[in-house]
Amino acid sequence: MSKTEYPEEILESLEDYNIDIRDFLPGHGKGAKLLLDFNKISGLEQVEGVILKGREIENGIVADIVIKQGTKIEDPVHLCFGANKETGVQEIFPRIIAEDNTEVTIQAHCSFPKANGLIHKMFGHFYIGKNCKFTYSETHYHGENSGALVAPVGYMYIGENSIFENNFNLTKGTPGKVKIMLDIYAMKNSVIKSNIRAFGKCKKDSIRIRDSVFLEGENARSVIKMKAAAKDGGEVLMYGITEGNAPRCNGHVECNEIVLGKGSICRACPFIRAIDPTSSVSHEASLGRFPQKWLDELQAKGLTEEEATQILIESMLQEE
Amino acid sequence: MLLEVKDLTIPTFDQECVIINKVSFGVKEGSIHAVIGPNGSGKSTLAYTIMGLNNYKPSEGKIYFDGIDITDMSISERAKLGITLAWQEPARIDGLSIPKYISLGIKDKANSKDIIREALQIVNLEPERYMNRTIDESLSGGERKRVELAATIAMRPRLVILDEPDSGLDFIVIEDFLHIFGKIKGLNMTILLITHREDIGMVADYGTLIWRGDAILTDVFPKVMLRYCAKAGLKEFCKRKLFNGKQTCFDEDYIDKIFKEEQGL
Amino acid sequence: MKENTKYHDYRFVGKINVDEIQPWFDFATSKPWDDPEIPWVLDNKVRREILIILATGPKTFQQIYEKVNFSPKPLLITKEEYECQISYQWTKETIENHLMTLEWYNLIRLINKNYQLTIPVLSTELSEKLEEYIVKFTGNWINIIKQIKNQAQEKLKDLDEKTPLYEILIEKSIEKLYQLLKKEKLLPDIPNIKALWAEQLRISKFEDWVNKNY
Repeated sequence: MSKTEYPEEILESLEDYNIDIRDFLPGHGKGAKLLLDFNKISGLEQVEGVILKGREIENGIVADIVIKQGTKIEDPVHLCFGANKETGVQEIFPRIIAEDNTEVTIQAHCSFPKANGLIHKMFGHFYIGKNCKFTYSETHYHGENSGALVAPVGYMYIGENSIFENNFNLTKGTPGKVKIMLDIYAMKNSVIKSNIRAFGKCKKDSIRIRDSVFLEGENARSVIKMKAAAKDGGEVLMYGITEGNAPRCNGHVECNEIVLGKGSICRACPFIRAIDPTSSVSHEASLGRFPQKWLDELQAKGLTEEEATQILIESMLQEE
Repeated sequence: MLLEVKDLTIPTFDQECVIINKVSFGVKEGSIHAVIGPNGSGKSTLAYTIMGLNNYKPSEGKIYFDGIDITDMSISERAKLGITLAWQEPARIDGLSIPKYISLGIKDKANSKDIIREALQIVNLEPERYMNRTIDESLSGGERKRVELAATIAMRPRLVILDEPDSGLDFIVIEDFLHIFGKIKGLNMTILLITHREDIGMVADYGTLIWRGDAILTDVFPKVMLRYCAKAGLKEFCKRKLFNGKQTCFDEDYIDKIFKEEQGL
Repeated sequence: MKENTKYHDYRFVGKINVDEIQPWFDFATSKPWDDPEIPWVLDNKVRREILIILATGPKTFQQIYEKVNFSPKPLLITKEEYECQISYQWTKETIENHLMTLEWYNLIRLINKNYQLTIPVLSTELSEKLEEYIVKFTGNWINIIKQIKNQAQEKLKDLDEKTPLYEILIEKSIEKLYQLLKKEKLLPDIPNIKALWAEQLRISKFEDWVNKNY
C-alpha cells in the first residue's frame, strides 16, 4: 500500500499522549492501519494474519477487523478516527473479531482538533475468542473549544481463558460532551482490566461514562478503574457496573474523582451485584479533593497548593 | 540558633485541649537535635506546627527560622526558606514516579537527573532499579521511607524535620538509617529528629524532652535521655541499655542522683 | 416505540404504585426510591435474550440453554473471503442464575418445567392493529378538549393572567386521569413490555439497516 496524504493536524494530538505519530502514518513502520479522515477512508494497510475491510457509508464507515486464529502480532494495529472539521456527523460501526489463540494490541486515536459542533458516534462490537491476549487502547482529543459531542458505545465479548485490557484516555484538550457506554461480557476464566481516565476542564465539558462488566463464566475476574477530574464547572459522571453471574467470579470497581473549582460536579455510581452465591464483587469510590496529607507532603517540597494539585492530577490520570 | 521555638502553645483542632504547653527550645545549625518523649506527648504535633500544616496552628508563641518569624507562614513558604519534613508515613500516590517525586524540591532543575541519582545512592537505593518505579503500594515500607529521605536530601534544605523515621522498620534497616542521618548531617543540613526510641536518639548532639506537652529539658542528648528514663522510672533499663560499658556517659552515682531528684527524694 | 411519558409506568403484578407521600418516597421521581428495580435486571443482554427467546412461547431449561449461544460474523467480509470460527456458549450455572433473577422479579415464571413470560407479547401485526384503536381512543379525547379549550382559557385568565394556567391544567388533568382510571379500575393491571420490544426492535432494525446499506 503506498503512502497517502493524511491531515497531520489530526495526528498532532498523539504527541500529548507521548505516542509516536509515525506509527499511525501510512507507509511508515509495521502494523496494520486504518485511517479515517472524517467519513473517508484515508489509509488502509494490511498485515499477515489480519483482515481489515472498510466501507464508506453516508455519514461514516463500517469496518471489519479480523485477527485470524493463532495469529500473534507484535506490532499494534493502529486506528485513527479523526476529522479536521468544525461541524458534521461521523458514525463509525467497527466490528472486531479476534479468533481463538490470538495476541494483538489495538491502538486507536480519535482526534477532532477543530471540533465546534462536530458529532462523533461509534457503535462497536468486539468479539474475542478463547485463549487470547487482547489490548485495546483508545486516546481522544477533542480540541480546545469543548465543541465536540462524542458518543461511543461498545459491546465486548471475551472468550474463555482470555485476557482483555481496555484503556480509554480523554485527558488532553477539552472533552466537550462525552457519553460513553461499554458492556463487557466475560466468559470462563477470563480476565478483564478496564482503565478509564477523563478530565473535564470547563463548564461546557460533561463526561458521562458507563462501564459494565458482566461476569458470565466461572472464575472470570475483572477490575474496572475509573479516574477523573472536573475543573471550573466541568461535570463527570461515572457508572461502574459489575455483576457476578457465575460461580467463583470476582470483580472490583474503583472510582476516583477530583473536583476543582466552584461549580464542578463529580459523581460516581458503582453498582455491584452478586447473583451467584459464590461470586465476589467489591467497589470503592472516593470523590472530592485529594487527601490533605498528599497536598501537605508536596507543599513541604516547596510547591504551592495549586502546583501540588496539578502534579497529583497528572499522576492520577497517568496511564499505568 | 537556626530554629527557635518560643513559648509555643498548640491546642487541639477544636481548641478544647492543649497538646503543647509553652514550649521553648533552640536548634543549633549543623546539629542533630532530637525531640524525645513518650507516645502522645506532642512530639509530632510540634513537628507539624514547625512545618506549618493547616490544622496545627499555635494559639500562643512564636517560631523563628534563621531570625525570621515564620509563625504565620504557609507550608510552601517555609519550604522555600529551607525547611522540610520527612513524614512518618509518607503517602503512596499512584502514577507519581520516584524521579518526579524526588525532583519536586530540587532548585537546580538543570542537573536534577544527577541530583536524583546521588540522592538515591545516599539512601542505598540503586538508581537503575528505582528510576522507573512509582511511589505506590509496590514499594515496601522501608523503600518508601528511603525514597522520602532521598527527596529530602535532593532538596538540600537547611533544616530537615524527621518524624519518627524508625517507625515500621526492623533493626537492620534502622542501623542503615542511622548512617544515612550522618550523611545528611555531612551535607550541612540541620536535623530535627522526632523519636521515642533511645537508640535512634543516640545519634543526636542535642535533645529536648517533651513530657505531656511540656518541655522538660533541652541539653546535650545523653542528659536529656537520662532525664527521660528518670521520669519514666526506668533506672535499670537506663543503666543496662544506655550507659553500659563504653557507652557510659555518667557514673552510677550520678544516675542514682538524677533518679532521686525525679522521685522527689 | 420509545417511552417518553411518565404515564405508561404500569408496574408488574404485586407491585404497589404509590399515590400518596410515604416515608420511602423519592421526590425526584414521585415514586418509591427503589422503583427502578426492573431496569437493572434488563441491563444484561443475556437476560434480555432469554426474554426474547420466551417471547416465542414457553421453553424448558434445556431449550433455553441450547439457544443462549451465538457465533458472530463480520459485517463486510464474506464467507468466501474468510469464514470466522468463533462462538460463545453460556454455561448451565450462569443461565440458571439469570433465570432465577428474572423469576424473582416476576418477569418469568416456571410452570410444569416450562419457563414462560409473565408479560404479554404482541406480534407486530397485532401491535399495529392496536395502534389504530389507540388513535381512535385518544382522538375522541382530543376532540372534547378542542371543544372546551377556548372556554377554559377564558375562565382561567380571570383567575390569574400571568401564570400559564391552561398548560398546567392539561398537565395536571392527565395526571388526574391516570389516578381516576386506577380508582375506577379502568386501568389494566399489566406490566410494561416496552423495554422488551425495544431490544428486539434494535436488533431487527440494525440488521435491516446493515442489509440495506450494502
